[in-house]
Amino acid sequence: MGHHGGGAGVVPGRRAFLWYAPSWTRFSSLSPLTRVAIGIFFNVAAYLGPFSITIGLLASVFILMHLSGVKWKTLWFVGVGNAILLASFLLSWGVLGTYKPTMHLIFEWWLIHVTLENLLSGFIFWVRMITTLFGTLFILTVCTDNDLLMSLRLIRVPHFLSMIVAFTFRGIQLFFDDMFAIVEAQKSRGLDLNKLSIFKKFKWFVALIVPLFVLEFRKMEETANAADSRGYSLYGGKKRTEYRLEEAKMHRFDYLVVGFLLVLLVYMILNFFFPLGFNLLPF
Amino acid sequence: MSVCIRNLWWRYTEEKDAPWVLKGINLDVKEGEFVVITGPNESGKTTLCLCLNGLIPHNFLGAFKGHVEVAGMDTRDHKISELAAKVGMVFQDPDSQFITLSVDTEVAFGPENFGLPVSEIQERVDWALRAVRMEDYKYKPPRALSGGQKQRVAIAAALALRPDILVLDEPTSNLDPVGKAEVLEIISELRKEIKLTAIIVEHNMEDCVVFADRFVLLCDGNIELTGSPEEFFEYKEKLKERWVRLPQVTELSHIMKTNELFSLKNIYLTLNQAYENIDQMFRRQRLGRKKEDD
Repeated sequence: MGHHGGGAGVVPGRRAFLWYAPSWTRFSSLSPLTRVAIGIFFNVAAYLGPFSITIGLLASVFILMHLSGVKWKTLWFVGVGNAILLASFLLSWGVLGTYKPTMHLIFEWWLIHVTLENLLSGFIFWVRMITTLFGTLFILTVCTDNDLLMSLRLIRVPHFLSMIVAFTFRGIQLFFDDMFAIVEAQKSRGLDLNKLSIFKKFKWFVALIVPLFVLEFRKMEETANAADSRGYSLYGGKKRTEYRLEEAKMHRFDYLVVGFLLVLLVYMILNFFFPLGFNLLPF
Repeated sequence: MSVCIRNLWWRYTEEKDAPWVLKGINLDVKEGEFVVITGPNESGKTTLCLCLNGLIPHNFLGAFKGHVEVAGMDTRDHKISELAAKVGMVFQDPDSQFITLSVDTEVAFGPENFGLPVSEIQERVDWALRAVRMEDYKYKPPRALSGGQKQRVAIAAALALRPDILVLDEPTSNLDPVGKAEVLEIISELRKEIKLTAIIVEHNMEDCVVFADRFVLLCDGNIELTGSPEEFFEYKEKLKERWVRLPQVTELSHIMKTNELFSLKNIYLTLNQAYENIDQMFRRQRLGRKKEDD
């Protein structure tokens, strides 16, 4: 792994949805579309394939995390924390799952039957969930909002649709910027959120959110005017250039990765609906 | 003539009894001229700017009377997207005019809309960012920029279309003193480089007096005063009445004018001008005293 650019101690990176994505790894040189495709794949495949493949997926998420130079500490903290929270699914499945007399009983009390089978399927579902969890977290740490836009443009989504996505991202940013500004202003005038009861907090929040939406709509109107005054026309017949698309284009390695994922996905979908009967492992 | 406005009336509603925001504006701007529009709040400055690039009457509901011609095109007969190639517009709030998610795509947005080849867009992006001294921030997202930096990106984004006319609505409102001077200097340089006509709405007279060819005082939808800086700042009382602050050195020269001791004929606009003039005055006095002594 080379370390290009940046001064001493400065990690060259880009602001991703979550934290900073290092930009010197093999992974960040992939086309944005490939990166987004990997993210979508993890989310779909984790629930589709046999359990053995899910285990493989989870392992590959961790391998990819390592390869892409994602900061383990932060990711572990959020990931493991949520994985523990999700473990409640495992337990509730074990406790509340349907009971059949043929199952292996571990514990029984009144109407509650904890069986090995239910616990196992809880565990399997939990693994699928944390595969999605880490897969999503991982993809959020290596993709920027611009990557998502670029991948939409790469798959030839009409420009006005990708523009709506871009406007939405900008809108969310503006919304939070303004919200924090208002909250800070109120705090400086004596607002102490910790002292408010939940009901009062809710009232305060509603009073904050309504004018904020009005403000954001006005700002979006201005944004639309700014776009118009730079020659943007939604229905104009002019052909638009996509300036950054050249850099985002897919290369041979991207096609290989996406092709492999597609083949795997098609196999999984087929296997899900018409079981082919040759799973790698018997579960 | 770069801009030709004849008897322009506008109000933001079609109701008959509603008051007009612009009331019969007549204004001509020559090619390559640097015009500063000033005036108190709600006098119609921003509205006038919106008329220059066709947003009024195309994007706003209201009543429009009169005739606005920009770079030979009547704004009523041409679409905003056609006018955009000739008129660059920088709005007051740099945040809400940031459309894309990074500096370079933001600057490229205009040229992209006109379908220019990628190589030319790259060249224009680099040129525009260099012009506003933001080349180090090329790949930054908007949230990583300060207000002043966003303002500069907004100017670069307007410049990337290589317009004949640049309209800026309070472009320096978010900038520190250094940033303010820099932006105005950049516009002044570009004026020479690409024969740009600049129309700026500005409250701070001190900063733009060095660069401006002409000042316009807009008040309650009317042009009340217009002229070269020397002519404009002669009307001290009228300007003060309209809450326009004169450059301090000009104020000083007005005070000096009332004093017989100085026998000042012209007002000062810049510190340098004042220094040279006062220096000469003292030299002359000293010379006179010497002759008397001899």
